[in-house]
Amino acid sequence: VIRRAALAACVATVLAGAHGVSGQSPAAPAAAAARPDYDIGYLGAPLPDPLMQHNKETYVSFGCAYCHGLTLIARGEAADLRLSALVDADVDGSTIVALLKSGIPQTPKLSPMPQFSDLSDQQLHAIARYIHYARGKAFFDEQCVGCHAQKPNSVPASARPPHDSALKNYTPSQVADLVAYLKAK
Amino acid sequence: MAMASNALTRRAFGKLMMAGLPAARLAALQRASNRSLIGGVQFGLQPFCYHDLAMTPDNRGTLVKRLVQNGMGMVELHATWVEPRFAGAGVSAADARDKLRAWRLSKPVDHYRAVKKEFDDSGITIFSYYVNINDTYTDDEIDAVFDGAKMLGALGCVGSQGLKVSERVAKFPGRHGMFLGIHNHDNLSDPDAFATEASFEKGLAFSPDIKATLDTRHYTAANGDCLGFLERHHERVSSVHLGDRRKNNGRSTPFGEGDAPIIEILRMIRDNHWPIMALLEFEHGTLRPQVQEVQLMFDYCKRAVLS
Repeated sequence: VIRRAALAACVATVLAGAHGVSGQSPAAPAAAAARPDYDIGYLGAPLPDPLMQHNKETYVSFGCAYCHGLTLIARGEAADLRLSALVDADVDGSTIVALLKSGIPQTPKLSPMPQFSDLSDQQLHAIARYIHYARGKAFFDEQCVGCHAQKPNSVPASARPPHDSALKNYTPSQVADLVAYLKAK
Repeated sequence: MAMASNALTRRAFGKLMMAGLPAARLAALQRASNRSLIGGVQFGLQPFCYHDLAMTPDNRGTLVKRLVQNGMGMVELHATWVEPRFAGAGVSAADARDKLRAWRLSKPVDHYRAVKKEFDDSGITIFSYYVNINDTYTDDEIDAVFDGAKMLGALGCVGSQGLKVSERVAKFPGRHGMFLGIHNHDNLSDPDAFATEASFEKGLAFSPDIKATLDTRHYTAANGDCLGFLERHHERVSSVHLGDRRKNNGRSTPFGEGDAPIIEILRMIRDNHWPIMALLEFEHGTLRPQVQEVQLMFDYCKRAVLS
């Protein structure tokens, strides 16, 4: 309960000042231009938070995006990480890292997910952190941007989703994902 | 080695291939001024490699440009690059499927010819047509798919269908002077899947018109021996999907960083003059533009066969 309250408070604080959150830092395109090997058309401009950018690059470099999608919109038969119960249950890599190390066994219906046991714990945690960030961004873009991308308070209170300051309608995992996103934006 | 006339038509080449002519002769026949025939190995691309490019008819022009940019003269073309899309708002999946079947059965000759011309004009041979035939395909529809593939210039249809469907489809390619390619993944627990040498042997036994499309990534991840497979079955292998992964269901890697013996595979094809197409296909991630990544992997392969 304390953790959730702390997360909610963090979200509320950041949301209070959130407008134009979908935009990138003006420095981001310039940074991308300095990296001719960086596929800005596909990957998008580098994120303002260099640590989250590193996490994103780890997620892409090791092939996660190929199946699960850069924005977690899956291709083919890969799991939709936006809806994954396993990701819901993850706290600081607790379930994702273990799964990446072991892979997912094949079933008669689905191809297996490869195992990534040769990656370091740092790399595996980076992948987990990006997944939460991307979930938070997807959630924000779907649920929050209507009010919070506008000028603060430009949307009448009566027209806003009734989440109130404690975000009581949201699950702990949704709140955690939002925090991951908002802290890095 | 006797070199074939460049005037040999693709139809004639297909017939010769099906007739099981000596491998060295077939390799010579395939050397018809193709820009990605390198060091005696015919390379091509499975355009899955362009991860950022959706496989749609709208993107076909971009695909052709990229293939030329990467120096590719051969491609395995997925049907989704060719066929119109019927899915959309207000159209159920079942309706879209019915419309696609009707389109195929309408024998859209002009459409296939126009697509073929786009590739011909850029000096790109469509070696095979990738289509995942399944239980929803009627017999007439399967014939129509092979007809369409043939009009594109393809020598065969390849897909990820399992044993059961392959057994049913086995009788179709021969009617069209073509082959059916069976393609492996690394699912070792599905008895219907192509993943092991034994599963390939079952599939190849259905018909002489069935050929193996050996995916070196998945075969390696399933702890298979690519070199041993080629040594034993090269006469029934039409192409390799060339890429790298690590053993034990390991991840995809850039070429040379996994366990697939890519260099040895290519040199085995080269040194034995086997008419096995080396179609690059990879799933590893990259931050680089996709054309650049394809070029790096292609250059790795070129070094393997030119040294």
